[in-house]
Amino acid sequence: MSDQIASSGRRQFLAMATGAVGAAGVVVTAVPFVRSMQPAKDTLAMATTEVDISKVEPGQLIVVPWQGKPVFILRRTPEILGRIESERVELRDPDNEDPEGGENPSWFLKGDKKTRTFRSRRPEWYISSAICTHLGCVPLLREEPGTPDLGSDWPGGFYCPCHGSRYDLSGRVLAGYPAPRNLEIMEYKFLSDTRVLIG
Amino acid sequence: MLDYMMRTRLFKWVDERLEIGALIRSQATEYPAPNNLNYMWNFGSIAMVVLLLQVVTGIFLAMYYKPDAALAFDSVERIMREVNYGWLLRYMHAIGASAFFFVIYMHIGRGMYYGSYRKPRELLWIVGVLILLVMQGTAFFGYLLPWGQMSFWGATVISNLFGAIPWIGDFMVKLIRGGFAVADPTLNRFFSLHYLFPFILLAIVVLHLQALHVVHSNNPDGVDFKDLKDAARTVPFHPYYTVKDIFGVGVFFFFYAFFVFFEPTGWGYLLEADNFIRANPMQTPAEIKPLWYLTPWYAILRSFPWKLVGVAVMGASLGIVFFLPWLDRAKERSGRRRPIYREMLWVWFLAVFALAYCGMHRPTPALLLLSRAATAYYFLFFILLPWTSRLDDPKPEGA
Amino acid sequence: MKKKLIALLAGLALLAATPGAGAEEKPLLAAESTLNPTVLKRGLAVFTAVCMGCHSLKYLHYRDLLEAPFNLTRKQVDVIRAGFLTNGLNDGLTTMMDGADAVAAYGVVPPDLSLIIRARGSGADHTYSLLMGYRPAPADFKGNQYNIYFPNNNIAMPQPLIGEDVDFSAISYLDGVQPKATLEQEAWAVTSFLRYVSEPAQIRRVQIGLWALPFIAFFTWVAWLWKKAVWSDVKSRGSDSTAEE
Repeated sequence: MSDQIASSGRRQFLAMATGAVGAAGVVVTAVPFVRSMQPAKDTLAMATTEVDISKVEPGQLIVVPWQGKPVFILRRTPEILGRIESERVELRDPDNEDPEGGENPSWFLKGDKKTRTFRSRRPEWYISSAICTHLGCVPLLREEPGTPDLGSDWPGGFYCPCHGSRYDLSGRVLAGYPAPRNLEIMEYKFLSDTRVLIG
Repeated sequence: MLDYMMRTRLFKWVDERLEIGALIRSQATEYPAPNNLNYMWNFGSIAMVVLLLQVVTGIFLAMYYKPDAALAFDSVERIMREVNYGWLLRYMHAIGASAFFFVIYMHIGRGMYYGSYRKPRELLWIVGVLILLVMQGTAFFGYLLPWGQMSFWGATVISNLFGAIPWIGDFMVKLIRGGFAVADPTLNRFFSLHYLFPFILLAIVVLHLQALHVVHSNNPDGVDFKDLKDAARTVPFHPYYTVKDIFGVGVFFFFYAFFVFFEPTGWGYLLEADNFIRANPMQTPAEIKPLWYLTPWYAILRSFPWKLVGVAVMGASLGIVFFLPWLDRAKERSGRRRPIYREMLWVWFLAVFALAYCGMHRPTPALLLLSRAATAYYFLFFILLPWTSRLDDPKPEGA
Repeated sequence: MKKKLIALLAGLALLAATPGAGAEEKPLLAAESTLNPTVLKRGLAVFTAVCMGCHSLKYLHYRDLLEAPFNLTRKQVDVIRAGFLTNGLNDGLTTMMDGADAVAAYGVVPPDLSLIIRARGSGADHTYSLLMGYRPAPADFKGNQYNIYFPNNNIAMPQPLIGEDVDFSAISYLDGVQPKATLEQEAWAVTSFLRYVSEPAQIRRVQIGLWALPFIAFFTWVAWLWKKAVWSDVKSRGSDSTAEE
């Protein structure tokens, strides 16, 4: 142990040094705490959901959960596809110009007319969010055209019971109803003819 | 550096409205501390750091832990495997609990050796023992939460003890458990209490510091300074002891980190093997025992074949500690100047070690004998202290 | 004072050396398990081919096999999955054996093995010894199966591995492995695999520790220098000069 009294310069330097190393240590220690609040691995794994569509009949609609939210999968018949092309109802956003409040996949944004009309990767399979863009209810499928309660020019589509919003069989919202946007198309891909990965 | 910060305009603005400058001066920069404290005096500040660590890790763990009997065990494994750095939070918290007790036992040992409980520090001592009791409660509640075999059966055994109390025993047991056996209601309320107790602890620690700052620290010689401004015997707490405490915390963290990163189960002492098995109310593990820091009292409890006697004596073993300041009648304060007291105290420490060892193992006849002998000495140390403490006093004949 | 400390420590050492319960059992074999990814993959192969007939690993998911240390491809995981009933990659590795059937056949439900290594004080040694410990039962043995490392030598599980139980050449994610393995090799591989599964974080934990401890040591050293500098102006200390640091 030396008998020399340390100069105040040395003390200050060492104070700074300890402070700097200590501060670095605190920052490094804070990282795991913050990271622990980020979504856990199993939560992130739920970001995608694989759905087996082998048992969906033509004309049948199933609703599956994805990230905790409902998703429509509708197997459209050629007759339905024909009706979509020839329907004569006024749509709010027929060309999908509104960003739809979500992240639309690139295949949709850059798609051709057929993609924009049928709003799907494969026309036979309509896959979209099942959340009404008005206030969040799940619309019902009213596939039959021209029913008494929906009117003679109803082409078939989705009808939301909460406030009456209507969508065609491509999920495009009809004008004159509360819902502002088409049903959201999210990313999905076909792993095979019987399995689709949503998300 | 601190006085530079205290001269800034920002600081002065705050100080005018909060009088924080006066607080810093009275508690740190102008607060006199003895200049001869040794490293045994570091444990108090280390304990505060560990308490903070436990609260922070606990809060982050509570973001994922589920206090439901059907979900708890899985939620802990989820934290270990799926939550980012969840394993680190869990290890820090579990090892932090043992570290907290280790540090506090060293802190108490310092107090007993150097006579820090003596007048005028009796209230400081009493508040300290209170802190120990709240810590033990916190640990007891916390240990049920992982819902492992040892968690469940340990809670079952200890909550059973309350049944020994005459008249109200049965009522107490059902009250604690929220049912007939340790089950989901028990887990839920233990989680609530485990979250609450540390904040009660923080309040008691503030009291502890307040009590300390009135009477000032003891020192290894046990001779208090008469004059608070005696420059030959005091130094201001800041920077002398802030600097020494920071160094002490560094040493602590080194050993703590060793366990967290390289030996998190602590060879079975920090995380027990049986607790990696989900609680099974139908099957008791081979040995039910608490973690090492509660084993001395567990051994005292098991020393007596009658349940109520065991519970009463275990309670008395904690109760009697409160009275230490009045049982000790020696002229000198510090063990440094009391050779006979010193020897007796070392044997007492040995007795506590022996009790811990007995508590960790099945009570064979030999260990039962040992725990009874150690319990006897544990109490005799205190009971005989009014007389034995005077043995070190100088004889009336003079120098 | 020093003498007291030595006596204390010697006493403790003596106490600690006292044999604990179960001293009458054979000492366990040393597993010397490893975290080598190649061995872990072999262990996975043994587990899915043999052990998963009865045992689950609920905390290990199929999607975890796509990452380190297994790094299997999606196709390889699907091949494994095909042998069991699963909804998707997020499922844990679950056996198809019904609990009731197991009790009828063996008297006990085969436990989930996700934490088996941590649930035994002797860790990997216990599992490895168990797998190696089956012997022909002596004439007067009245239990289920005879295993020299199990308490009372009586274990419910029939011998799972005898050597050459798995054809490693048929497993797509194993490269350059002999097609057949001895009992020791299989037991070692599956024990190592189970050791990994009981605490997947252990690899990362040690990696971080290897720089965290030197960092803390460095901080403590700098703090020490600062402490010495601040205290350098304090000469005599206390009421007498027996200054203790």
